Amino acid sequence: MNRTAYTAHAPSSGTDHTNPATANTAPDETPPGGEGPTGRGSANREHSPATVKVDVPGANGEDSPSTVKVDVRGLNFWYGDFQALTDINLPIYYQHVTALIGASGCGKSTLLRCFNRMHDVQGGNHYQGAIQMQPEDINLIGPETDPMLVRLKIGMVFQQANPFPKSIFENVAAGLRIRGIKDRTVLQETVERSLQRAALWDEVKDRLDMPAFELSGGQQQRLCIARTLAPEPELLLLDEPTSSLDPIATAKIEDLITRLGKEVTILIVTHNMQQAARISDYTAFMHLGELIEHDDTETMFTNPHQERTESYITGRFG
Amino acid sequence: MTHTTLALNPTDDRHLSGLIQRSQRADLIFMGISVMVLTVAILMLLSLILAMAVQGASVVDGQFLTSFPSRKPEEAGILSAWVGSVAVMIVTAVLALPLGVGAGIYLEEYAPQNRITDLIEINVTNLAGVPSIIYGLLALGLFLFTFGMGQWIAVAGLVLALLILPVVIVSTREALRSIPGSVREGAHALGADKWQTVSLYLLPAARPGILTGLIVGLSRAIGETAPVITIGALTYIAFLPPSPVKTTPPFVSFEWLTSPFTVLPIQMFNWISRPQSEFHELAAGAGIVLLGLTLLMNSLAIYIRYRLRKKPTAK
Repeated sequence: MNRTAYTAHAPSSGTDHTNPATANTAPDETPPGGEGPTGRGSANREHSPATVKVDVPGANGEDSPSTVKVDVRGLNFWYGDFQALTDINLPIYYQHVTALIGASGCGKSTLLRCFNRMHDVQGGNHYQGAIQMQPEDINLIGPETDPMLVRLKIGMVFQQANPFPKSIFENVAAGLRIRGIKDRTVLQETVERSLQRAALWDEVKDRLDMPAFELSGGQQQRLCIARTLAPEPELLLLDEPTSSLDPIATAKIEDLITRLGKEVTILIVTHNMQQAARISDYTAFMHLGELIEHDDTETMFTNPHQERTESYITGRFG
Repeated sequence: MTHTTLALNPTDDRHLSGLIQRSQRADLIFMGISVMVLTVAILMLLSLILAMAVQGASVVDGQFLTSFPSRKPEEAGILSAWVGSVAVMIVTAVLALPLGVGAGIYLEEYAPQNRITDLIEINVTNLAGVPSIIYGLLALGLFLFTFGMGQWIAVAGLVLALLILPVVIVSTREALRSIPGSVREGAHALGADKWQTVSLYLLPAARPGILTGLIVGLSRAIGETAPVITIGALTYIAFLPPSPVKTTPPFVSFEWLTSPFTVLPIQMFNWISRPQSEFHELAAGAGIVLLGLTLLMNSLAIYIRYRLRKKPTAK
């Protein structure tokens, strides 16, 4: 399996980690060394997701559209004695949106929560393998890595909006306060910028001192996104962020994710396949704790390689 | 489709309306019983308060509140008793709040799930049921005989703080437990450590519940007689504790903590045990004041809770 491809590889080939043989013979094997991820990343900043999708099918791998920000390699995860994830291999591309889809209980949320070590809160869970994040090259699940450090670098938005019982301002400032930032000007600027990025500023700018609970469900979820964006996370995890929202609020959040996906690396879990198709650049399909297939979203939805993927996407099960 | 049981036939409206009627009847009966029980309880409470009010109302006036106890009933008052009660309550609150909240936070958020924790939890709950005189004996043996403290306001506050500690601990834990887990998760995901989660997000949200627990505890403590008598509070005090405020630097004084004292329930007990009916009226009057103090504390708690709920943004 191609373990050296930190620089880049086309998502349509060489990423079929369920089939190592294919991966090894893929034409886009990039030799180690050469371009670093940072250089690649800045070069790729201009790529919009649309361009990626156009590029990929015809490309033979020379025109690599993305840098791998986080690479999951041979990940196994156990809740106590129960193995919830088996040999997951998945690249997460820099400044793109990757969606995890699959039926309930397939392990997609479990996988998402591995990234920021949320499983560490309860005892008895354990990880095996690696989730390697660039450019620091740290193994997020390594025993030597402090879970607090991981959570300071990676942001997460939950299924149910979970604002703190405080004002709107304090909610967005929470991440900064936790990081010990007290400077009023810095806080104010960051809160405003984060609320703007989360498309909530215009709705709340006159009532920042109001309790966050007085916002509507969709606004609360955007507030949570703003709160997560404020400390500038390297990776944004979204765990079914729209599943408890009405269609209008959902559409707003989807717009937001599409926009944010150009500047932040996003991994989103969704049970809604149409949502994955609408907002993601890459899609991974999971089933019973295994990663069945992953590819760029267009290929996944038009020409999946695995029969199980096709059955799920066409609605034959799940 | 053929249904063999009539009861499952959805078209049988007569049967359904019978069902509804029966459940309505059951509702009505249960409501009747509830209202009856409630009425009996309230009537008993009201008659107790009324009897006391009728007996004691005539003695409660400005003179009653500002005079020291006396052998002559017409000159007697409860100044030293109510000042003593208030002073003891202040000490109790100041001690019970940090101890109880600290223990509650530890048990709920930090303690590992093991047998020792279980043991502590069971014992904390049991402590709430220990008779208050036992606390008095503990204070007598430990604070007075072992540590050589005297019959002080501070010792009374200490023993009453121990007495209400279980109430504060349990209400702190319940207040923390009622905060949705999603708040903790959100704080963790933002990179907060345990203490940040507790101090920035959990404690502010738990404040109303903790406060209620404290006030409930204080309302119990203010009426306690047994432990205070055990440590030797005097029944006749014709002076006030030294003032906590001084005209000379450093302007504050804690001398009052080591002052002898009496409290309202002891003063009442003293008067009740006398044969003359004038003293019984004085006791009833003191009871009204005690009840008033309790009511005042409870309304304060309700007010603070209302304020906190209305403005959870308080930083």
